[in-house]
Amino acid sequence: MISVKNLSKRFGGYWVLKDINAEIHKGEVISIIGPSGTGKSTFLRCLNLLERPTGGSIVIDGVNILQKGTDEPKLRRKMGMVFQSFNLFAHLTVLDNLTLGPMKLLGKSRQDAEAKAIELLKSVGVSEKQHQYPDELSGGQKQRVAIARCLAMDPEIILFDEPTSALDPTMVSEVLAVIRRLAKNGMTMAIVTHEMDFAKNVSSRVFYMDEGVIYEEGKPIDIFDNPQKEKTRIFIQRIRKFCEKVVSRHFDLYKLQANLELFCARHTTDKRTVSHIQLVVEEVLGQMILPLFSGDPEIDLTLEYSEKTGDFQLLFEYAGPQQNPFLTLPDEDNLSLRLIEKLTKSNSYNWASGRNQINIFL
Amino acid sequence: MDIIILQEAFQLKHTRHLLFVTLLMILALLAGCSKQTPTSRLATIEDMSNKRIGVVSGFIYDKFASERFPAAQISRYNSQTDLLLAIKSEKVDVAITNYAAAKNMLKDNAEVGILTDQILTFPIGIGFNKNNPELRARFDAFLQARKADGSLETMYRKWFDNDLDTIKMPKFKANPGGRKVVLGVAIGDLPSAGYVDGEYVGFDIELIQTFAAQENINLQILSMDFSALIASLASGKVDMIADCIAINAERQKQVDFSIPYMEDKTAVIALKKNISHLAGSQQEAVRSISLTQSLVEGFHSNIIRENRYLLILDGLKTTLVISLFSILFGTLLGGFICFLRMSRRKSFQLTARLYISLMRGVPVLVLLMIMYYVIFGNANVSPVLVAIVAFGMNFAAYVSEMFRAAIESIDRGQTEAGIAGGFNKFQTFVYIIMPQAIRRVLSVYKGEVISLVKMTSIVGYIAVQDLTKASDIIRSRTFDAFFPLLMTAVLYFAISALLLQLLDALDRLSDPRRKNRSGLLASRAGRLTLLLLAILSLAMVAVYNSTGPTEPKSTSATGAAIKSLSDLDGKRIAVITGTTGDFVIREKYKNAKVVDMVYPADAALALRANKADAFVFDRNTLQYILARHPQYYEILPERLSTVEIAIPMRSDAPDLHRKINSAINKFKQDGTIDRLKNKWILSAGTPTVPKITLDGRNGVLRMGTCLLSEPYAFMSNGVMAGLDIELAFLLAEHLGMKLDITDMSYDAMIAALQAGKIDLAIANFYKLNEREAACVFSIAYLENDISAMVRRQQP
Repeated sequence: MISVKNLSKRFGGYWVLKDINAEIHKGEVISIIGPSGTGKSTFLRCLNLLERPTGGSIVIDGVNILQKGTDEPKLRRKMGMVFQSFNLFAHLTVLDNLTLGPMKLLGKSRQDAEAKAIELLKSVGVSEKQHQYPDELSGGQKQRVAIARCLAMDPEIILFDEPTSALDPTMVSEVLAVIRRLAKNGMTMAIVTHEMDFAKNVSSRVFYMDEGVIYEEGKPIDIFDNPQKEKTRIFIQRIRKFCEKVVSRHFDLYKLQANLELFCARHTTDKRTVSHIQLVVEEVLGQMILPLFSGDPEIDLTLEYSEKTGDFQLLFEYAGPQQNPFLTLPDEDNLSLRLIEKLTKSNSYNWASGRNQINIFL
Repeated sequence: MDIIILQEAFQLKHTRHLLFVTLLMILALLAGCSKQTPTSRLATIEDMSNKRIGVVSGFIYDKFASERFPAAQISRYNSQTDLLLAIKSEKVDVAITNYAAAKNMLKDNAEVGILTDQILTFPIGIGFNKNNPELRARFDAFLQARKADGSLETMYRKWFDNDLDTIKMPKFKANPGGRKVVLGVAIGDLPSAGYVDGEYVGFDIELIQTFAAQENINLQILSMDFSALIASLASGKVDMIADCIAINAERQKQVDFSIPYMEDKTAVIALKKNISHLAGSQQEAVRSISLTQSLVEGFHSNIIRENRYLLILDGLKTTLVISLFSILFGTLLGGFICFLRMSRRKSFQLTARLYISLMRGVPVLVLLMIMYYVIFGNANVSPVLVAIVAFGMNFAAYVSEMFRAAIESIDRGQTEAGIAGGFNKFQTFVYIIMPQAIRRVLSVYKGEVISLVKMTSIVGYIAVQDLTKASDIIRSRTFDAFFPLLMTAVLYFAISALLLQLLDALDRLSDPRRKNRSGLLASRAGRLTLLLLAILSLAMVAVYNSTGPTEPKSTSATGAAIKSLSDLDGKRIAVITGTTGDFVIREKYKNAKVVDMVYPADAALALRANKADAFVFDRNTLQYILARHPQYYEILPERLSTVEIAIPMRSDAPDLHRKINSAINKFKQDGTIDRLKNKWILSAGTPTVPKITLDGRNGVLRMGTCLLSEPYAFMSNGVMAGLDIELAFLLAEHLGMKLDITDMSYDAMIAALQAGKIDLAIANFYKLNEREAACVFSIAYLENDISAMVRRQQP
């Protein structure tokens, strides 16, 4: 239905979209996810030419709409759009918001337009508000009216530009429920969203956008449970990182402990976890890694926190010959090893191209 | 606590009371309530000495009364009718007038009686050049014979005892072969001499024509100022002069008089009840004029008399038409400019920005004049239309920026939603942006509309008679600032209030909150608004059409050339608002389209640019203009009327009045005035005011003048020049005072005099009886004619 090839868009000297290639088929529900500022909304707005692409092609039903002579208004009548900020017509009642387009653009009679509008308002659950003005509605109601306004034009596809970002958390679900029902009824949709669960459950395909391209795409189950690329994983699992380099035998352990505590405090209120992490860091560095060095060491310490799972993971990296400290620890240090094993869920050791890696899951 | 509140309440009440009293006082002052003194009976001539005496201006009675009764308050009227009215309405106690005229008045007015006819009798004679005793002798002989056979008496009776309209002037044949004799007449008033239907008529004329026919004389008649008669005769320009000229010793020094051919008797008339021997027994309570009566009088004279409310109504209509159409035009143009300004095309943007900064940087008045004199200079376009265009252009510049601000204040999301919904840009603007922008712009738009309405008050500069101009015309006639100004203020306020109401209605219509909650009605609002606007414009078009064409039919522009005064009717006649020329034209030429101008230079320009067919003004100024542009203009030989020029003064300085009057008398007698007239008006050069040192030992004389009235008062090479300026210096020198000259417009002078801001105004002021209600005039220092100037006919 829509085929995008080599699409690019430049704002001033900055390439927001570099090289987008995508296919959207009839009946598909595409979720577009990714960090902010990676061009998700721009991509969506290029699809109905609200933004004029700098290069590439968008072919809809066999016609490249970037060619001159395209009847843009006519094109847009088939592509509804739902905005983050609703953009209901402020001077019109809810009902008139729905009937304006069909009457002025599709040549429907007021009677027909209103009958259809009332039916649509019923289907999104705001029919009792039909004579009120947009600013008398709650955010969730506004967004549902906006969706109904799109539907009133009988579109072939609806583009959702972060439809729930401007909503109170309590109202998100009522809007998502409406979209979910549309998906069930087979409406083709492209949704830019930050609602990961929703994207996972509703979409038929997910685009992960980063660095101005579609960085990874696939079925939701693949993208969410088994992302192939590191950036996707970090995004999907919403991983927060803490990094520190230890470059001296006599490094300031207390400062490191304080920084760790600060990072942890941002993500958990569990004091025990924090003190466990501090204890593990102290034991691994002091008893397991530092003794391997004769001079000053060079150790990369990373603490990751996954917002999705709520798990912490410690990562130690240092150069040197392959030597698993968990196995080669002298007997008198078994105490440290036992302590670590008691405090952590699991641990692993890797050696690759001259670097040792210790992973500890807490 | 309670006490404080009580006190405050009391003070508030007190303050209100004071305010009210003050307001009443101001009203009384402004209304210029005439100071009426209680009347006591008249028995002898001497009883007149402290009375209010009425005279017709320009006659010898004026001078006689001011000399004989220096303490009396003298009012001057334009005509015998006005004089009679003044007696009957007790504006004056007695009137001095020609005996024949008095007898005529008494016929229909039983309440008026003659106090005495033994006050002033002059022998009337014909003046001859002292070097031509032969002609005088022949005339004396002719007179003797006519007296002897009674035919002089018959001719006298014919002219003086009959209704002037019924008298037939016999036809005299021209006598080209005879000896040429030039007769100078002033054609002042019938029955002595007048000019009717292109013919000189009157008793004096018939007498001299008869003489000429008998003596085989080729008589040429030349009309001139009454004051110029003696001088013309003395200088040999004319051979004889006539026009009811009284023989007196002073004149006899300069000219020879024939034996008297008639006697002019003078009568003093008054209400019979005020004359002792006619009063009978009825005693009337002493009347005093109350504040209310003076207000009523003020209202009557400013609004009712001469149907002046019609002037105000016409002005109101014009103001309304100009306001509404400039608002409509300006709003449409403003929308277009806004479109250009918001366009993505740089050239459009630049054009709009240029237009906006230009329109905002040029005063509306200047824009108006440029439109009228330059852009539409040679086009025959109604000045009302020019005003609409000019104001609309100015209005457009301001509202276009308002529109832009309102449109830009609408959230971008609204446009995006429209575009994304499949509307094109135009549809998005019309259906989504405009309805919201209109609501936001209305509050500032309202203010701009009101200021436009007030701004239209300057259209008087391009000869449109609007509300302000109407009030100016009335003020210049009555010298009363209060009523015309108050009325005008109230009417402007009413127009503004009306427009505000209309815009408020629009506001309500476009406000979704106030509408009926039915969806049907809500979306009709736009249509209703449009409908309202349509009805409004239709109504205005109807009003506009009902005012008739503002421009006379094209016949006047291309029609027959104006060769005499009788051709003036139906033509576009330029006048300076409030001058005698203005009044004369309005009275005599009902079908003429009066083009009101502010300055003579503008009027002359308008005449030259074919915006008027004639310019009626005082002959002196016209001659002055003609002398400088002989290729464009010519002046019709006949005169419309004769006026006196005098100095209006503060009414509360009797000492000053006396001094000024005596100074003017002195200047008249010692030839100063004649010298000034020759120097400033009749000679062609560029004279200057000689350096006169004023010592100021008797204080400062504050004088108002208008420095835009060549040759009376104007700026020449950076210094003040003109007849009035030089006269002012001479007066100040004579009075031993320093001179403080303030330049102001004519209307401002009247108000300044009333407010005591200036002591006198020397600015070629015509002496009109109505003006004398508001301030005191000196005796006349100049005489002038009202004449008409027309475009020079191309050969």
